[in-house]
Amino acid sequence: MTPTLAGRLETRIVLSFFVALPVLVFAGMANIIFIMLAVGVALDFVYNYLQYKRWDGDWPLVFSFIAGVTEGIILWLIIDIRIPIYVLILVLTLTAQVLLGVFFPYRRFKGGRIL
Amino acid sequence: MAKVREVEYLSIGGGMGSFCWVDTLRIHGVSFKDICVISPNKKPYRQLKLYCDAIGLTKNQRLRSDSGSRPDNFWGFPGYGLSEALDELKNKKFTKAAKLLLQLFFEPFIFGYYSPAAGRVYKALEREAKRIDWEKSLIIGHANNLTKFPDGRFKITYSRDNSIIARVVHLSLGHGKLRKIKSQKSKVKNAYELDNEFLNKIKRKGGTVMVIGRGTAAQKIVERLLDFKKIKVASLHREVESPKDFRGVKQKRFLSWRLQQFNWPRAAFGGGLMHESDSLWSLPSATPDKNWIRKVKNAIKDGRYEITKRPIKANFTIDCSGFGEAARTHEFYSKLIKKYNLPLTPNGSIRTGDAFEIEALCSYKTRVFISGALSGFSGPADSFFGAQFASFKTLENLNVKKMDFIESFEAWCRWLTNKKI
Repeated sequence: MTPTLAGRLETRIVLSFFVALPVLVFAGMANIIFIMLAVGVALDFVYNYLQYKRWDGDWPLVFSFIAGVTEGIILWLIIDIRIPIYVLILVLTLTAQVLLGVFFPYRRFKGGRIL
Repeated sequence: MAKVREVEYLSIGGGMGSFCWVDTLRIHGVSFKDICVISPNKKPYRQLKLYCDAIGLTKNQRLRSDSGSRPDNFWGFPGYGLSEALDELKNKKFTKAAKLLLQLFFEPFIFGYYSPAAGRVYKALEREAKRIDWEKSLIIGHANNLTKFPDGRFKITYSRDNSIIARVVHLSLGHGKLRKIKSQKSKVKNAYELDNEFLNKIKRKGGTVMVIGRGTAAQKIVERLLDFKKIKVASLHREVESPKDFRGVKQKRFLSWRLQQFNWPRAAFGGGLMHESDSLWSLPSATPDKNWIRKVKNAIKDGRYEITKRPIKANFTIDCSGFGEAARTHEFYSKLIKKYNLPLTPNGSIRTGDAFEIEALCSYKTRVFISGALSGFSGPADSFFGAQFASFKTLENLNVKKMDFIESFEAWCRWLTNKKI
């Protein structure tokens, strides 16, 4: 998958509310969803810039993993997020990102956009 | 006089472009009774296999395509890589499966990009063709001509004097004629026409072989020739251009070989570069295969390989410069261009709208689409993903309902369990 910026943002918002939020509600930390989203959205602009520095302009799966770990470290530094909860969110989000194509097949023809 | 058969959807070509288009329609609920395909071949992958076999890309060798570009799977999930890993697990080959999974996770680093073996793709296409009743839509024959009726419908004549009428026509007839180079100094053969007889002659007689071109076909041929003893190989690479594109990003180089994993930068396949274009992106390029690079470097050391800017005196010449890009070199398309004065792109392909439609032939209720080679789409049209991308775009232009997420999941489950549509 080679997302566009719009594709990144849409995917992040959908996965934040449908994957991360239920985990956070379960852990009693639902109030941090907006900080999490704000950090992620800000970083999406950085990722998008870096992506087009690559000849292929793509974003391999391992980059999504590294990005997820980076976001986790930032959240741990600013709001002291519980590490096991974040690891669970990261694993579920990466899995959901791969499975999203089954429910939204047209996504891959339009830079990862869901709408 | 017998009544001429009339169908809603007709695809002319019968190769990968037609297959992806028909597969997309079938998945979106169109009955096989409403679809016809005019093709000279029974199997949709026959022409692809012929080309691959000619350049030595046999079924166990890997294609230049990524895991998710699956012409047999509209969703692209699971990709060929994951399917292969699961097959290895079923066969209890755990190390192989683990290596594949690691490769998919870390690609393109450490183990490089994953590419499916040709045989895996043929087998998967066979399965999907059966599932969508491909053969029930098939008319074996050669299309000759397309005529537009005053009411907008199209009459297609095929195989001498047969004809069929359709409302929506999809053209995917492949490449134009192979470029032919004549030489009195050496024996010349096109890479896609190579046979064992010619290769055995090279092996027997030895000498210098000049390889023209720098795409994957040339890469494969050079690799094959370097396996022969007493042969010297020279690649003819005439021009050397700047390795930077309009973004200022540098393309990798090995000598004067342009290195790129796919035939376009990956983001041109439905990603952020899909609406951009740079002449450098589509130029013939080789894959950054470490083993191949090592082999060529060793051959240079041994004095068995060189790159030349001008043609040299050689005993044999293999032309890997591919096909003519001009649609006028194609028998069917040239007739169509002449008859309807169709507009062309600067490189001679047929100009299309955003949905791959030939606007000059469309009317309120009827359509003609063209995809694959010789369509004017400025992107990786001639690829597995390109064929599916074109099918998606035509779908948006037709009166076919798109799937919501539940319908998509249901249709995917049917695909996964190999249930007929």
